[in-house]
Amino acid sequence: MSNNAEIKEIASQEYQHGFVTDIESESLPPGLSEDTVRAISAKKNEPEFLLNWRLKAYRHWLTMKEPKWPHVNYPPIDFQAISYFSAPKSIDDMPKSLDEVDPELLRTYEKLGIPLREQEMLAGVVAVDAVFDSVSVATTFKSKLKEAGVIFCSFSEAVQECPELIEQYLGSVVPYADNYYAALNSAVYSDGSFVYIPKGVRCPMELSTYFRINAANTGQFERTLVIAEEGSHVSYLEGCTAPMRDENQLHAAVVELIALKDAQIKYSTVQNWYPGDKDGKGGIYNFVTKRGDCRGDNSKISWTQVETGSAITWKYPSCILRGNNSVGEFYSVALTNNMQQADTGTKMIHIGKNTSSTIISKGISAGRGQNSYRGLVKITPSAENAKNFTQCDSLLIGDKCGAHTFPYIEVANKTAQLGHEAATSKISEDQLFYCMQRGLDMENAISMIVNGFCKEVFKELPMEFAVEAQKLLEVSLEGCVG
Amino acid sequence: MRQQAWQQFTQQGLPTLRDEQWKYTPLRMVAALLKEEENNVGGILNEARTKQSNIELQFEANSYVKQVDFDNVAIFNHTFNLAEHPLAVLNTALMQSGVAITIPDNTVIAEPIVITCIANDASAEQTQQLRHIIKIGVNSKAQVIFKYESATEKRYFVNIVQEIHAGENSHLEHVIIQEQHDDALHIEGVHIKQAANSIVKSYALSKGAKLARFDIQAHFAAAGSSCEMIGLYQAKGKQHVDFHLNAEHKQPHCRTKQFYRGIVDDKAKAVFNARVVIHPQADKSVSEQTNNNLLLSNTAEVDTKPELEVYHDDVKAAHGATVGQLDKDALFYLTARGIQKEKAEEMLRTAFLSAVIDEIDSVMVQALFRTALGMMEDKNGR
Amino acid sequence: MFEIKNLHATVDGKEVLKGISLDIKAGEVHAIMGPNGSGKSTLGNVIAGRDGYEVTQGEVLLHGQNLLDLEAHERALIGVFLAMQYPVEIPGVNNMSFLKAALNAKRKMQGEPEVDAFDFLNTVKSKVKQVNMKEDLLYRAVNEGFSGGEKKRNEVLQMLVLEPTLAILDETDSGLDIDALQTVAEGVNSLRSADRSFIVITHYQRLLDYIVPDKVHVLADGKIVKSGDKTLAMELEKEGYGWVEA
Repeated sequence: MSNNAEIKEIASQEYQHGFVTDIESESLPPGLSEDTVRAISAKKNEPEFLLNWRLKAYRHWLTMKEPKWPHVNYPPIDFQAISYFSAPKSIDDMPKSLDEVDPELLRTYEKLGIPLREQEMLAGVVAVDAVFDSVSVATTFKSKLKEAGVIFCSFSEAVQECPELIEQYLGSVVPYADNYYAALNSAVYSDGSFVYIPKGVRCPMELSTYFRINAANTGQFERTLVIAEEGSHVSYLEGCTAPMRDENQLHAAVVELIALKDAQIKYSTVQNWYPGDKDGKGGIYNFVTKRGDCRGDNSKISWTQVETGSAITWKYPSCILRGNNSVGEFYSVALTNNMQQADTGTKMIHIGKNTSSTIISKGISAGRGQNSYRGLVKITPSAENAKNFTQCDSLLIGDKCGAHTFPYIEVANKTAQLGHEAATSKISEDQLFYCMQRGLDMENAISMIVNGFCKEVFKELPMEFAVEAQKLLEVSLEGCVG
Repeated sequence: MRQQAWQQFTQQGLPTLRDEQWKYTPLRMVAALLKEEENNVGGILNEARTKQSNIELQFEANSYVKQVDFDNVAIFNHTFNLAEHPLAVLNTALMQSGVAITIPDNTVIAEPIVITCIANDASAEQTQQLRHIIKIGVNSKAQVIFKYESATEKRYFVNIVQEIHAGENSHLEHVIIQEQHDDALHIEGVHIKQAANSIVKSYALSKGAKLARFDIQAHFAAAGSSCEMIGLYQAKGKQHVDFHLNAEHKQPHCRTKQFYRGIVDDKAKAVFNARVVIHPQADKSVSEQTNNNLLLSNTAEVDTKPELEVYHDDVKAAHGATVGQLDKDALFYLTARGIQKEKAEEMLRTAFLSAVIDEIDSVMVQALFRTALGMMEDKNGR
Repeated sequence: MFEIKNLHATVDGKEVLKGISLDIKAGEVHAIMGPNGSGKSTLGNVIAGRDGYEVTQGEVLLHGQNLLDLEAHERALIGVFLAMQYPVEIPGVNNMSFLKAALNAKRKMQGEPEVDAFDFLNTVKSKVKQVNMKEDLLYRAVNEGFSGGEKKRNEVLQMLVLEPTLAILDETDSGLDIDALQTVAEGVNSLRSADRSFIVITHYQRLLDYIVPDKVHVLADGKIVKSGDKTLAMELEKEGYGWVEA
């Protein structure tokens, strides 16, 4: 520990020269410049094309302004104060056992019914790998996936092992110039996941379990790329119901999905980053760009998300329905309690013929939480016979929260059929009394009604996660009444 | 006041597509017509006070209905926030004519007050700026109908601001029928301020003009008020119609209903943006928004956005929007019964719009709307 | 066992119960009859602890414990069950899991473990038969889209599962045809026992042909104006409520 400061000093000196080779610290000092971008790329031993891409993104980012249109409030972010590359925390800083972990966090884990070993991993207990058989589990999974021809690895690995796929697909759905945070991510992304499903392959397992064990430490500028070749199927789950310990306040991830002809991608997210305390102190800013491209005919991309964490959430998992007969789906539960703010929704861009999309969004606001649905359904002139159904409902618990709906519907083809329905209501006193008269206390009654409200979305989640998501809502709503 | 407004306008200019409120409505054509004013500012500002608008205002003048007195600057810009409305700023600088309707307390006006605004060839010489002011006294009731027509083929731009003060327990039916020629540019802001327990019903029909933009806003200054905004739009050729409705619930027990339907054909474009904001103290708010569109051509476009901002849990709020085409099954059913296809389509279009017309209280206004839309029969087939 | 002493209650400042006293022994069935607006439903709601009623005076005692000190769910847990006149729809909440949650809440209070899922299913299924309810209603959302009769059967089903000490049936007979009425009554009768009491609130005498009361009380304008045995109900049927309203 004593030489930490020294290391930092050396690191920053070397940084001034534009090189960071300090192997011991594996971290870059705070600050963002072209040198930072070059340093990250060099550390990852990236091919020339990637470095160039990062630099183009960085230069473009410099010309952009932080978006102000989301219905959220936060103090300005100092991008120079962020460290854009950091290796895992020093072993000395990590808790040695669960006894050293914040008891509040452990209580939550217990409520969620998370196995002890997973708890240790999530809480960042040191050397978990030594006691936990993740390596062997991972190996078993890997061989099974390899047999099927599926590539599932970290983004950095993919860059080394199949750079041609990266070069072909990276930025093809979310270009680096897409938006402010996507540009930032493109310039400085640290790592992420890569999935490639070959032609005609049905991925033999949910890519969730594996992910949960291995990719908990995802970093703050995560990059995910999922490619489903012709006729393939994959279901991918990211995130975790357990609140993860995290030191980074700003998270700006980019996820790109590509579904070729007849391919299907199901992408589920359970997001439970630290939401900040009751007064809104701390908490993660989660500014994410997620977009799927139904590039081939008859392809399908389905987004399901359960968002309960983060101080501020700003994300719109979207589908570009390019292929004829392609299908886009978005199922979302977003909960804001205490001082949380969420501005989330989706974009469905209909381009191909006979494309259809479904949007089911359930927003729950409690405490002083602010929850906004923002969605765009766009039917371009070429999209013959496009169909969309949108339902976005809001539930209010308490009189200091807010629920907002901003649906944009743009139609330029007469054969389109669109319906949008929305309702905002509070939990009715009649419903509460009915439950309580049957012996349920107030919190149980509320959580039961809330889970009922979200049912249409939960049923889209992989089975085991649906159960966890319900528990998660219960825990997240604790203390919202009384 | 005019100087100040003009300065403000020249600083901020016309709104652009980057402005969320004008995202779908470009003002290029308006900008072109404004050039002349900008070149001749001094003259125009001086003239504006003395020279009447070239829009002819026809109405029966009496003790309730008069021309607006533009020397009395204290009466303007009380029902809305000027900073949010760049076109109202322009209007404040250049306003020329308008009617002032003042209904004293405890007065029921049985006959509708009809104001017909007719543009002529001279209207094309410069931009036309109208300002109407309506005050309905406590416990009073009135029906006011504005008709916009053209007696010219030339392109002109008319920019209108209406300020409406609805007194306590008052009841106002406010009607707009816009049937100008297909090259007119029409921008109108209707700003309603409602005192306690007042009822305002705004009925609007837009079928003319190249560009027609309406901002209809209700501001509930006290509890117990209700505002209905009911309307129809029809756009074909290269027409562009845009309705922006807004209701701010800041007081308890207020009710908003917004129900609009439109038919869009050819290369036309319709924009609909309804917004209801329910503030924390607005207990027992009820709001309902519905927007249905028929899109009849592949080169036409509809952009609709029913927005809801709720900061309070003691509310009932719902909204819905649809975009679709004529029901094929219904069409087949009618033609299978021997009705010509064109006639069958017309019947279905009429049925689609009738649902809105049926929501209008006044039979007279219903009839006006039906006539304007060329509907031969009323809902009972007579 | 259950006792109401001089109960006064107001709604929005208006007095709707004006001094009600009742003494119900274990095992007894008491019928409360009366014209519309006499305060019958209010009485049920006040006993069960619904919000919106202010008790200004009096006591409500179950086994000597004052219910008025307890929250609605606490009253339910010690055995108060209100079969509601208008059962509430709860979208998305599975009827079966609702029932299970309610039963487990009770078992938890009594220090018993959660009910075994398999046993529970069997019990519920047999009770569903008993009330002649369609089994698929168990897997639908609570009362959502149920017909009037189905809702009432569902109320009785819940009562059979939860086995309350004091069951209040608030116009459970309204909207039921004669077959349904008999099934519902049979359900109730099957629960009658020496340690369980019932309050049957009804406007009509016909339910009392099937659930025979030990006592009948007539409520008018927030007060009990007459009490008697089951013959009183028949009298009322014949003569109507005119005489109590006059």
